[in-house]
Amino acid sequence: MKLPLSWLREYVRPALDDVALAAHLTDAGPAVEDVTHLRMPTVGGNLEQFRVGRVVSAEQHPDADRLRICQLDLGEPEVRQVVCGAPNVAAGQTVAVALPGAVLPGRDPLGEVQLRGVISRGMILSESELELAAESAGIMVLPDDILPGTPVAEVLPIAETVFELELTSNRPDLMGIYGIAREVHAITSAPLAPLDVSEPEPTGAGSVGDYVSLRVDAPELCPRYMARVVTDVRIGPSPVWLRSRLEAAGMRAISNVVDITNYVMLLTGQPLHAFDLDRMAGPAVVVRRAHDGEPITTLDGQTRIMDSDVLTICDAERPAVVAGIMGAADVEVSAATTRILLEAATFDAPAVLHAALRLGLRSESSSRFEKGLPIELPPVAMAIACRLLVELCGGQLVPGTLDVAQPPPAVTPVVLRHARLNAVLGLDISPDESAAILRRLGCEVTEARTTHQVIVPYTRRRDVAREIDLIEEVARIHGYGRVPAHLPRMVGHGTRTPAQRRVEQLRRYVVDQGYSEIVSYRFVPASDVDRLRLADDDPRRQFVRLANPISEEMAVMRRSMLPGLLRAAAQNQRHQRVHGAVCELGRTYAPAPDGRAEEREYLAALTFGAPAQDHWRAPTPPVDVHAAVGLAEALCGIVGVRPDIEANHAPYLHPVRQARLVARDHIVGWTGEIHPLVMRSFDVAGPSALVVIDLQALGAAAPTGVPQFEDILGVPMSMRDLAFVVADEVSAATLVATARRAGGALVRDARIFDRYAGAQIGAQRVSLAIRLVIADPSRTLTDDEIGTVVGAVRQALTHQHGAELRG
Amino acid sequence: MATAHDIAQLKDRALVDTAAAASVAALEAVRVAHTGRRSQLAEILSTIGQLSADDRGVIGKAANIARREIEAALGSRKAELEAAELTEKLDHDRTDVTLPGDPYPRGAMHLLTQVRLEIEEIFLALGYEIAEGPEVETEHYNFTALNTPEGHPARSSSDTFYVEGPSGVILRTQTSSVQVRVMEARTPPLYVISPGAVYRRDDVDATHSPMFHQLEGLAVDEGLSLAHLTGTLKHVASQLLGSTEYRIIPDFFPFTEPSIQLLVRWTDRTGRTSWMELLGAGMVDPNVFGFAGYDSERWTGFAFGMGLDRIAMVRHGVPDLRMLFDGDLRFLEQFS
Repeated sequence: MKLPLSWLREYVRPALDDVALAAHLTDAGPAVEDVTHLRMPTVGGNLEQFRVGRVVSAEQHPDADRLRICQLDLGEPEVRQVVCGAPNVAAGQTVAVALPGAVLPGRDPLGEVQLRGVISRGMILSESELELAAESAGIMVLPDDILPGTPVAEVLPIAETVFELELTSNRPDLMGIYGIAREVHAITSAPLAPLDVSEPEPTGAGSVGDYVSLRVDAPELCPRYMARVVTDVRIGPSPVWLRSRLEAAGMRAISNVVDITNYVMLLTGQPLHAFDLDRMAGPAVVVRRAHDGEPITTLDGQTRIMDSDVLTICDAERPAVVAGIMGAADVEVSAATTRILLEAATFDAPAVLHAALRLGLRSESSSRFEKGLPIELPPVAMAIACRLLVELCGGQLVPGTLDVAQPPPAVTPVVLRHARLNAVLGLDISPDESAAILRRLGCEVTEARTTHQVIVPYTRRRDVAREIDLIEEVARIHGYGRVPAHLPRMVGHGTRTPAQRRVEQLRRYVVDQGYSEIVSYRFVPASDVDRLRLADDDPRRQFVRLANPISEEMAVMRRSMLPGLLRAAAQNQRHQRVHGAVCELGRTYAPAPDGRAEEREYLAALTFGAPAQDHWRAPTPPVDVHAAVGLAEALCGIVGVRPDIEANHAPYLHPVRQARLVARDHIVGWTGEIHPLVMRSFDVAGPSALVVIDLQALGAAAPTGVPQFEDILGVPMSMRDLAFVVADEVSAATLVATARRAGGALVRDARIFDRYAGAQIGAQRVSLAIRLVIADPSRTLTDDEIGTVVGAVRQALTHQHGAELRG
Repeated sequence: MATAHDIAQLKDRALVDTAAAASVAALEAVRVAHTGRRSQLAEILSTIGQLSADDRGVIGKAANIARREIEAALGSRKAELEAAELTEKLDHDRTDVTLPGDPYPRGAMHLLTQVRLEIEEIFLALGYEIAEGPEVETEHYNFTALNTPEGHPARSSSDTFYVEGPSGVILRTQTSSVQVRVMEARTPPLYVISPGAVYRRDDVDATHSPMFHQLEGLAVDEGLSLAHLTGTLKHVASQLLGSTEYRIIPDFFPFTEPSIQLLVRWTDRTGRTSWMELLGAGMVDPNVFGFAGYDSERWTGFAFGMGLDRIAMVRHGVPDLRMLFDGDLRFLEQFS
């Protein structure tokens, strides 16, 4: 909302400069977002250099056809000579003059100049030079009753300061200048001038019913519809004062009638609509719901399709206005208009919002109606507008008003308890003070011993209806800056849950392994499932799908963490970052039977691209399934989980270079190299390794309780290495499991520590070496006992897996 | 028979040779020559038994003293030579220590995570817990129970993402939805924060994103007032931004009354100082307590919400919101 200060000061004049006024407004009312200065600069007393003058004489310049040499009376002892190039300058005119030293916007200070040998000591100004109009044909001629020498600023708004206010949606009352004046009055206590709502004498012929009929078919969407008729209107430009106010408030001046409706809307917050009565069929006004699919061609030339939730104002034949939003071109006021039907109405706020969204059409009018305007406001705006139509357009106001209105809501006082006020605010505001604040806000306050009975003005009725609303009003006007700052004395938990701690531990760990964390959009294209090569019947093809996505690229909630990582990889590779490691912790969303989502949290980490040999001696780290398995195991190990590694069959991973991690019957994660076709479809090159950890499953698999000490410090650990050859289809995990089983409790650890495959061993065969760690925590084992354990392991490996022992 | 004079000469020669030995190996030869089994001194000592009692005392004593002196000299010379040889050997280990060290991996936590964790720590220290809630949420928890009636502009499909299927399911537009869930599940006193992703139907540009992140706080207790909210916010601003200058101005949220906004004095890296909008807050509206079944006469509370993305951008001078979401390592690694 743009607030021209000169307009505000017509109603309230706080003893504050602009900066202080802005601070007061921001602290207690609408925030002042921006301050702009329009037209002539005000600094350094510049406005003093603009004076009213009278043209005493205007003679032709001897050496220039288009210049006149003017002698001006500026109230100075001597006349002042000014050379003027405007075609319309003539003796006897009253004009605005800039004296030498005056600064016009974007120009150097005016000097005394020689024009074709004649000195000119000033400049006669046009409206466009004063920025009161976009263009002008000649100089501006002022009324003759202004004394020469008067500062122009006293008779014309040649300088304006405009506050840009940020309004909250609960304050439609501030969408009018007078509402802001009321607010300034409440905040500063400066007196508030009343709004002149006196009606002009109705001098028109007959009465309004002779001219037009009114029918409201949808009172639920239109609680009030008022209409009046003004005849003998002369369409033309508005006077400068009106145009300059409209433009300072951010609206374009069009013609006197339209400008008046806009002016009154800007003043009161109540939108108005003027129709050309002679272009209305009937003439009749019918307020009804649109038919589904009914078209209307609005002023902006576009044809829009309405539905039955859209309210329309029709003449006897067709829709003439989308109620509260915009009219149709064919009934609008034009240069030929002489008879006006003026509408002041109240429309249902959600319906206006719906229509504005449905039709993709917003206007100054709809932005006010959609916040909810009081039913008492139309008569105020109607009276002011009718007066201006009579005064500025020569109109004759026809007696009588068509007015179809619901009864206004009952007035019930709101009780404010003094004790409650201070308890909620942590302040000590006296009843006198709170009463004074509420009265400045326009409330009627009846004081009792422990309470106030408060009647709220209709302008604030929607927003201030309860005790707590009054408390807010008192608090903000009293000043939030006066509220003390205390920390609550509290007893809380102040800890993360075990699950929250686990997530942060894992995040820290994976980042410390070189993975940079990304945050990707959780809405993704539905086509991601094709890129991931999911089968047609894969349940992950079922989405939480947005009904109103921004684009197809953001249409469904993700089912997989992988596309986000691959897109990040591709993005980096496009920037010559061939190799990298990224991770993300976040949710995936599976549709739930109730229409919501099952949201599961995952950690996913991706290494992509071949690392460059870019260190003088350190080898490049491998990027493959084994690297991924190692990271996955380490992540599980952080929370005490030692998963089994099993075969896995994810379609987006390399068919034989992937694995899943299983612990206590939970699949806690999966890992592998990305399928080359998936890499290609996401435009990522090079080797890759993916780790996905299902954080809920990992939590469920994690041991509870704290680790307990086992006394193994006093006994020796015996290590025995066995090397053997087996068929390469026998997995390492199987062999280790067999060794553990066969060795029994004395085998404290068994792991593969070497592997060789090649010609020496033979095709489809592999040589493995396993290290057994053998101990009994309670005693030192004899060589025979150790030998028995090793023998059992050898035998099991040979018999169960056909292992040929070497050495 | 050797005389004391002979012994003294033997000793002097041995000491000279010891001092002259240039290596541990040469010194060993000196030791063998002068104190070995075949050395003259060993010979003298082995024949002492054949001397007269008088000579035996004098010669024996002199020979033993000489041997101890020689052995001491050999010992100290050996230490010297070994030290010198070690020094020489170590000198051959010389390398260019200014070469790059071996690479250790280090990734970057996302800036949003860093900011979130930092704010969480501030509140954990105050005694708050952390609650989480669903992102695919119902209109009830996101709007209705937060005193945002049907027909409110925020509920329109131009502002809020709706989910296909049964009506009333949306992507939450604010973490405030978690407030309602916490109140529904628990009884006061409550001190809870809730960080997370939220969604609004904004087009993507430098300052807008259809997905962003908030951190919500809720306190419900007996006797909580606006002064406690003010104190809490002041504490957070000073911990997070080191900002002690703050300003509270009116604002509007359907679920708080009074509603306020906290501005803090912030100087950016170009030295420009301004009032920055840090967060919105307010006293919990009695209607919200009504939905939760709390007695608003007994309990009062406050709630606050801040945009993590905006705080991250302002605090770290990030010019474009999109940088937070496109996974560019050139951006991410600047915050490791």
